[in-house]
Amino acid sequence: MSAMILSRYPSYLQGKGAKTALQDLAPGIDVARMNFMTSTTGTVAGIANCRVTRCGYTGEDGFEISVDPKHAVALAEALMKFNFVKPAGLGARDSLRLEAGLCLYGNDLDETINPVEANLTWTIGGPKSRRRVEQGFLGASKFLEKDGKLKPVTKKRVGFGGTNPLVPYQIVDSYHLYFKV
Amino acid sequence: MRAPARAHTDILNPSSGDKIGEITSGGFCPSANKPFAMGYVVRAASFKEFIRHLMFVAAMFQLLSLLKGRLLIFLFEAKRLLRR
Repeated sequence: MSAMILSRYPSYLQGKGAKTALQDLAPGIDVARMNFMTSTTGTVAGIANCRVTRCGYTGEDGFEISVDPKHAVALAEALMKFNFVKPAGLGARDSLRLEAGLCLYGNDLDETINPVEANLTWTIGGPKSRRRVEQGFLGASKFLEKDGKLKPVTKKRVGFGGTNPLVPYQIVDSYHLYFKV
Repeated sequence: MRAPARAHTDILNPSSGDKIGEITSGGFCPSANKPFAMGYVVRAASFKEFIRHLMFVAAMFQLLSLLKGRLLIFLFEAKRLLRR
């Protein structure tokens, strides 16, 4: 058995105008019929064999477009020709993913945290979903009982919003600074 | 105090000072103009209320047919709560 590792360069087109820009650049792809978390290949901005997936790490509607690295600059330049497409760096993307409650592996997730603790069981569906009934995937026994119920955990991932009057607690950090949550 | 709690900040029980968890990501939330963070807290009975009230800022997905309506409602409710 052999594996071929394909080197691809991803571009992330995210936000309200994403579908308009992509449809303009990729007339061969029916963008309106692409649902969230579905994927296809096609020609984007004249570059053949692009992998286009309707997903992202920003909490916005959008697309991830992977191309051969030698075409990556051409794709970025094609995207930037739209006056409503702006470049955004990793810091901006980090703010967006935090707003959306998305986890960053290495920060919010690691090999010691299970999906129940991380509040990520929505990814495998409800108590009667196929994955929870059949199980059989790697790690299932770590957080699922035989009957599909979630195993109890001792900690939970939660969000903190500053100055939210509904939460009558403070977060106190290790430097004795504080703010109301 | 508008300073965001960053990763590795301890979360303390304000009445006892005991550590009950740790922030794993934190920053400033431009949509709500407030600091925000996520982290892990111990799941003890005394914190049930604490945990239930904490929500993330809503994802602003254009939710398509794959996602269920109730999720959409939850997300927008969360955003509304945080903006108060």
